[in-house]
Order: sequence, then structure tokens, then C-alpha cells
Amino acid sequence: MSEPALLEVRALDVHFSVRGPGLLPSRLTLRAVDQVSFDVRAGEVLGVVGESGCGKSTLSRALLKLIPATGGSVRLRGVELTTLPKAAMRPLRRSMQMIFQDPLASLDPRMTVGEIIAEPMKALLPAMGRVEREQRVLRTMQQVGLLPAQINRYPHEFSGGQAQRIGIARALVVEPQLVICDEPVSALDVSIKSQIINLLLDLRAEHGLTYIFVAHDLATVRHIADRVMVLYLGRVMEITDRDALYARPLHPYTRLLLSAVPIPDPALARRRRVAPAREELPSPLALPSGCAFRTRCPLADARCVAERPVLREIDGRYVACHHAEAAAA
Amino acid sequence: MNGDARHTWANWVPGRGAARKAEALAAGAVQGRSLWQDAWGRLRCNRAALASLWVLGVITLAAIVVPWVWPYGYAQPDWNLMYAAPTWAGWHIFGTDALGRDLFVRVMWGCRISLMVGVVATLVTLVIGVTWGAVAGFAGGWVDSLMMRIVDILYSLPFIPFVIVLMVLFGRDLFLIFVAIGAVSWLDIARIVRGQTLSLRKREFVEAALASGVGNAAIVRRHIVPNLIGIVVVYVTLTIPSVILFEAFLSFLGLGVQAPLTSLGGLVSDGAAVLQSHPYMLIIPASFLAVIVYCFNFIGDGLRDALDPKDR
Amino acid sequence: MAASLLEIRNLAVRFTTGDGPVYAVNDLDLEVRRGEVLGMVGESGSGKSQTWLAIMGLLAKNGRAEGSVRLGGEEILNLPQRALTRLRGERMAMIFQDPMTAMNPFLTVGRQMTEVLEWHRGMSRREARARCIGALESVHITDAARRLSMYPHEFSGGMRQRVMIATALLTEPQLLICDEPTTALDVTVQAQILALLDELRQRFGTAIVLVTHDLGVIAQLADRVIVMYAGRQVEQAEVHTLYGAYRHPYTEGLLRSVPRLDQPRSARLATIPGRPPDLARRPAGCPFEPRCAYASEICRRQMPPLVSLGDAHLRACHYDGALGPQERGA
Repeated sequence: MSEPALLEVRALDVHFSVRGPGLLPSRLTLRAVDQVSFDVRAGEVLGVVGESGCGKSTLSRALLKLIPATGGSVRLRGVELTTLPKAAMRPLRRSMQMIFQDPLASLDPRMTVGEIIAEPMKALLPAMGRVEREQRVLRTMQQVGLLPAQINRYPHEFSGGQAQRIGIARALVVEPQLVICDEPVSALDVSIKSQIINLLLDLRAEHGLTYIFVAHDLATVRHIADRVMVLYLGRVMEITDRDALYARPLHPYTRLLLSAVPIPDPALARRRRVAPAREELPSPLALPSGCAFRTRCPLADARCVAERPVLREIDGRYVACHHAEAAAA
Repeated sequence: MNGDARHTWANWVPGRGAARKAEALAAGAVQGRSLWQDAWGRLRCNRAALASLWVLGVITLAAIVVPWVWPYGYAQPDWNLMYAAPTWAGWHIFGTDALGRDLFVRVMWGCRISLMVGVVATLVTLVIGVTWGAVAGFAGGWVDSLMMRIVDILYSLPFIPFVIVLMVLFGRDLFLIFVAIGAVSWLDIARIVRGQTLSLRKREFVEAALASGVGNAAIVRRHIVPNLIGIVVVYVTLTIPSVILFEAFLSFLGLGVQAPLTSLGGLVSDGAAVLQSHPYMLIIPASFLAVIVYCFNFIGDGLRDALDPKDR
Repeated sequence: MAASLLEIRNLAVRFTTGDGPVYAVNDLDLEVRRGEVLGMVGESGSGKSQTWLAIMGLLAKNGRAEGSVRLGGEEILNLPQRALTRLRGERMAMIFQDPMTAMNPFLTVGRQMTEVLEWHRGMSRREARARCIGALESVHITDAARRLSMYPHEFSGGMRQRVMIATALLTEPQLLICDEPTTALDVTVQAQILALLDELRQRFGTAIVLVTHDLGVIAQLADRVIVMYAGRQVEQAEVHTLYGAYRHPYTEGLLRSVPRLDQPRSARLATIPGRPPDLARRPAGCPFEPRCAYASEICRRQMPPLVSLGDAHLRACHYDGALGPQERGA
């Protein structure tokens, strides 16, 4: 890790206080993101995967300060964001933008495409003139594959894939360095999904963008990510370079996830029928002691109950599992 | 409704759509169909609502024009012609009342007053209710709790005695009637607007705007308010008839507009007293009241269906 | 070959909207055989869900279905409400993507399940309860007796889908229609639900229709597959034939644009260019023509009929040449 990281996240916590059951409820703590640390290098794509409730959406919102962090630090090019006041945060938003999961829900139904794409410029580049702004909207629309003639249309007149292009244009129009993509293709049809993934890859190559690509689908992440971080119940299980992760996952949870991905080949799919894990996700309000994954883990032993495994380096990969050395050997 | 060009009601005018589209096409850009235009298209397909719109338009126009051009004034008695049944003679087409005043012009005046009460009181309701609700909903936290508890307390006040006490204390001033009715009926809309604002705040497009660096004030102006308009418009068209009915009720009790001026409720009250001998004095104003209230309700229902996004 | 259980002939589903009619399903002919798993794959707007909603009599108010659907030889399309209710309870059942919306949040799971048996089978509450416990156990819900007194929101998504499956199977239907049963679930839970469906099919001999956009899910479970596009059937084949020797350009496009773990990673994903079809328009030619790499003049002018290629393989396409790289022959 010679080059300096674009984004450094250290021991990030996002905890919510929720009301417990009963007449005189006690406050319970929901640890949506718990002691998460990772780096994002300039120009790379970091994939973030995990099941629903693993905190991946909360994490992406906390990085952008849409949800306040309760502990830890997030540094963008060395600038600490968690303690930054709102006014000082604004100029930094030019370098960090977000693409949302549900393309239609993330577009204001009463605004035209042109107004939607121009909005970040109005907020972040107030000095820019109207003509220049319009030109930039049109240029960005072209880059993401929208027709200039569509500038006065409304979101509901677009299909999901086209609407997601509008969302991508809105994120890119202020020329950010880092784009956080929160499941940008999960809601799209198969044939459209691949178009959008290719578009994201092209845009990255053209503009030297850095992505944090959040998804629940390991097959999609393999296509776009350079490194992959696996989350489970708000904790990091494994961070590894793509090829190493898919060739030989070290964490038993990564192995479980990989074995459950359906394969579009009937012969292979039927041969590879795995015994699925019985136990379901524990409640995030009552995490198991020690390792969060131990209730579903085939390798769990007394040490996993007693001691929470820390994220540590093995052969240049980062794994939080007591049995990782055995798997690496 | 708001200053932004795309929400002006001019966009609703049917015939203009085609002309604008042609213009836009000539300029190379395709004009989109906004949700408002969609809603207007659906409303036009709703016959009951469209017919109501026409009827209401005719009544409103008549209520404005007739008192100017009619040969009789609303307080002009004709001692020779009391309780005359509807007749073409002397243009007393609705007949005359106990003092020989022309009932047609009085009914038109009644429509004028009732519609005015309905619209102005609803505007008062709207201003207080929308502001209160939007502030509570957007501020959230303890501000929200405090503001909504105040609404709860006001809800528990007995509504009718409150208005009656106001009337008795301050006299029967037309303006005061508007304000009194408006001041007590803003509670519902405050609650509705607050609920809507709360849910809008959690919508993904608001989150997207926050992530783009848009400030709070701009979010309220550009995203929250335009998306509130739909529900508020529906609520308004359903509030006007209930306010008109409430005014009629006050007038019936004798707490309405000061005589000799009158409202539809006052005319109904007069007519009810002589129902046995002169039924037209009740039937005519009561029909107008019913038709106006009906029309507003149809329009409100039509608007609700037209604006309902689930339909698409 | 097993006897056919459900026969669909010339099914058409149309919706009237403010902007004119929308043709959701057109000229659909197919059959479901006893005990088989029929996969139906397509993207949004392909008509895959509307087909089955029409058969169940669950179309939205502005929808109309025409044609013929026979269940065990008996016409069931557009039956009166009463007859449909009986049919839905006893001979066919349907489960949906989001089990939460199909359950009443104010009733316990047990009440909702026993109701089905009391209504359709005239059982007593006690008897019904015992049966429900059995049903929950057959979908691998542990501690079934206690779970019966819980409310839907107390279950996780995967558990809810299990409860829905158990409820659907209470009356031992001949046909279970699963509309995107695992789309809302995590991959690990999805694998469990698919394994469960497979197990139930073998145990009870229920025919299953699996409607999904996910080719991976179909590959896991289906015996035969139907590919839908723009409300039309474009290809139908036995599962190994379809994945190995597909003969329709759209099937090829779908299969090649899925990112997959069982093959080496390519730098770019193959895509199907263009946009999903507009169902308000009914083109004279093939609806896939604007997006098809093999399209020629005739495709624009003439709708390709569904033609048998032998071996129960059907397709609707004018193009006769070889499709793109097919290194994995069947």
C-alpha cells in the first residue's frame, strides 16, 4: 500500500439507539456499522458485499455524512470528515457523490431531467452561469447515453435503466473523484444491468473515477471491483483483492456467500448442490458473543464464542477469523 | 400555487399543450409530460368532475355578474309584492320573500357570500395549516412534538361553542366569520401536511439532494413543497364545501351574516320558517347549496383520483 | 411424458389505461405437466407475472384476459368469483415475491393458516391446528407450535416465505405458482428456499411454475423453460437444451449478459443494446427486432410464428443461421 489512500476509514461506528419492547422499555443499541476500517485507493473500485442488514447501506450513507457516525474516523485526502461542521463539509461534497439503488425513487417526480442533473451544480458551484450549466448538463447526458432531446422530460417517462442513467449523470456532473454506488443495478433487469455496469466501467476509465460499489450480488461485484470487502452484521469479515477472493476465500462467511450464488448452468447448478446453512441471521440487537458469524459457521469452536476475531493481515489479505491461517495454508 | 414556472396553473390549460409541444419540437427538445399534465388529462376523462367544474363555473360567474346587472338590489323591498311565487312578471323568476325582496338576486348574493366564505376561510386554513405542518414535519424532534401537542389540545376544544362565543364577543362581522372558521379548521390540514412532510423527508430523492450538497431551505422549496401541492389541492377542494356547510349551519342558527345581507344558509333558514305556505323559499336556496357542495365534492374526488400515482 | 395438468391456449391479457390499451400477454400457448417444474423467465414487462395473475383471477381492475385455460380439462379462465375462490384454495395456489403483503399483519400466522383449512376442508380449529403444525414442520420451521401464535412481522423474510409455502400447500394443490419467490431474499436464504421447493415437489408431486427474471434460479430447479419477451413466448425447451443449445437471439443475449462465477471474468459484459419494449405499441414484426443483432428485413415486417425444432424445442424467430459463440454445446 505505497500510494496514499483517497479515503481512510478507521474503526467507524454507526450505532442507533432503539426502544426495546415492553411498557417501560429499555434503550437497546443497534450496531449497524461496528468498528469498520478500510482504505480506498485513488482509481480503484472497492466492492462492498453482504446480506441485507449487514450495514452496507448505512456505511455508504455514513461516509457521506447523511447519517452521523457515532465513533471512529473518515478521512478524505487526509481531511477528517466526521467532526467537520456542515458548512465546511459542503465543498468536499464535490469530490464525493452517490448513486442510489432505486432509480425512480431517487429522482424528484416533479422535476425535469435537466433540473435534476443541474441541481448539484446549483448547490456546489453557485458561481457557474446558466449557459455553462446547461452545456454541462447536456455534455453529461451524452456521456451517460441520454439524448439531449430528453432534457425536458420527467422521470416517470423513463424506464428503470434510463432513469438510472439520470442518477449517474447527476452524480458525475460536478466531476467528483469518489462515487459511492449503493446497489446501482440491483433493481434493474438483466439486459439493462449489464449496460449500466459497462457504462460505469467506461466512465471510470474516462474520468479516472474511484468507486465504492455496494452490492449483495457477488457475481456482479466480481465484474466491477478490484478489491472486495465482505460485511456481516456491521462488521468486516474479509477484505481481499478480487482474484484472490474468488479463487480462494479465507473467511467461512465468504465461502458461504459464494456457494449460494446461483449458477446459470443447469448441469453445474445441480451437481454443486450445497447444504445450505440452517441457522438464519441473528438479530442485530442481540449479536452473538465473540465472532458475529459463529452461529452459522461450520468451524465455530469455544474460542469463537469467547473472543471476537480482529481483522488481521494474512498473505496480503485481511481476514477476521480465528481459523483463517488454517484456510490459508 | 408556487413561483416556479412549471407548476403554474397555466400549464393546466388544455389547448395550450399542443402549441407548446410544437414549439419545443421545433427547438429540438422533446417536451416532457409533467405529473400535472398527466393529472389534468385524467381529470378530463372524469365526466362527473368535469361537469361539476362547468356547473360551478356558471354559478360563480352568475354570483359575480347578476347582482350588478339585475334590476333589483338584495335589500330592496317591494311592499306590494310579498311572498310572490316565481313568475316572469317583473322578472321575479324565483319569486319574492316576506318583505317583497327579489329572491333571485338574494340567492345570487347568497351564493356569492357562501363561496367567498368557503374560499377565504379555506385560504386561512391553508396558510396556517400548511405552514404549521411543514415546519413541524421538517424540523422534527422536540419542535415537532411541541407543535403537534398544541394541535392536540386545540382539537379537544369544543368547536361550535367556540365559534359562537367568538361571534357573540366580536359581533357578526363578515370578515370575522372567515377568520373564525379558518382559525378552527386548520388542524386537520396541519396534521396531513406534517405526515406528508415526514414521509417526503425520508424519500430517496430528498436524500439524493442532501448527498448532492443541496441546503435545507432549497430542499424544502424545490422538493418538499412541490410534492405537497397535490395532496393540499385535494384537501382544499374538500374543505371548501365543508366550510360552506358550516357557515350555512351558523346562519341557520342566526349567527351568520348580518341582515339584510344574506348567505345560502340564511336563505334556507328563512325558507324553513315558511315551508308550509311558500315551499319555493326553501327549495330554491337549498338546491343551490346542495349543488355547490356536490360539485366541490365531485371535483375533489376527481382530483384525488387524477393525482393518485398508484393509478399509473 | 407425463399428462398435462394445465393447458393454456391463445391467452391474451390487455389493460386499458388513460393512454390507450397495453398488451401485456399475446397469443400464449403452453402447458404445465403433472409434477414438473416449469420455469418462466423474462424481464419486467415480459408478461410473465400477468399470465399467472390472469389464470388465478387476480388481474388488476383494468385488466382483461381472453383465450382458454383448462385445469385438468376444465375451463377456468374468467370464472365467477365464487368458483375462483374455491379453485384457488383447493387446486392451485400462488406465492409472491413479498410474503409480507400477502399476509394480514393483524392476525397470527396460525389463525391465517387454520382459516384456510376451516374454510376449504371444513375442519375443526383443533384439527386444523394439528395439520398446520405438520405443514410448518414440512417446510423446516422448528418449534412450529409456538410459531403459530406469532405475527407475520416477527418472522424474517425467509421464514415468511416458508410460511407462505406451507400455507399454499395445506390444501394439497396440484399446481403451485411461485412468482419471483426468492427475489426479495438474500442469496443464502434463496438457496434454502429453492432446495425446499425441490424437496416438496419430490415429496408431494406438486407441479410448480417458477416465474423469475433470474436465470440462475431457473437453472437450479426447472425441468422445462419458457422465455418471454414483450408478452410473447420466444423460446421453449427442456432446461439443458435451453442453456446449452438455445436458438433465440434474445435467450442468447440474456444468458450472455448475466455476470457469472463459473466462468473466467471477462473485461466487459455482453449486453443487449436498446431498451425494453413499449407494450402500448404492437409492431407488425418481431418485438425484439429493434434490439436484435441478427435482425433482417423480414423481422420488421412479419411476426415470427412459434415453430417446433423437434425434441420439444420451440422458438419464434426468422433467423436461421448460427448464433454467437456457443462453446458450451449441449
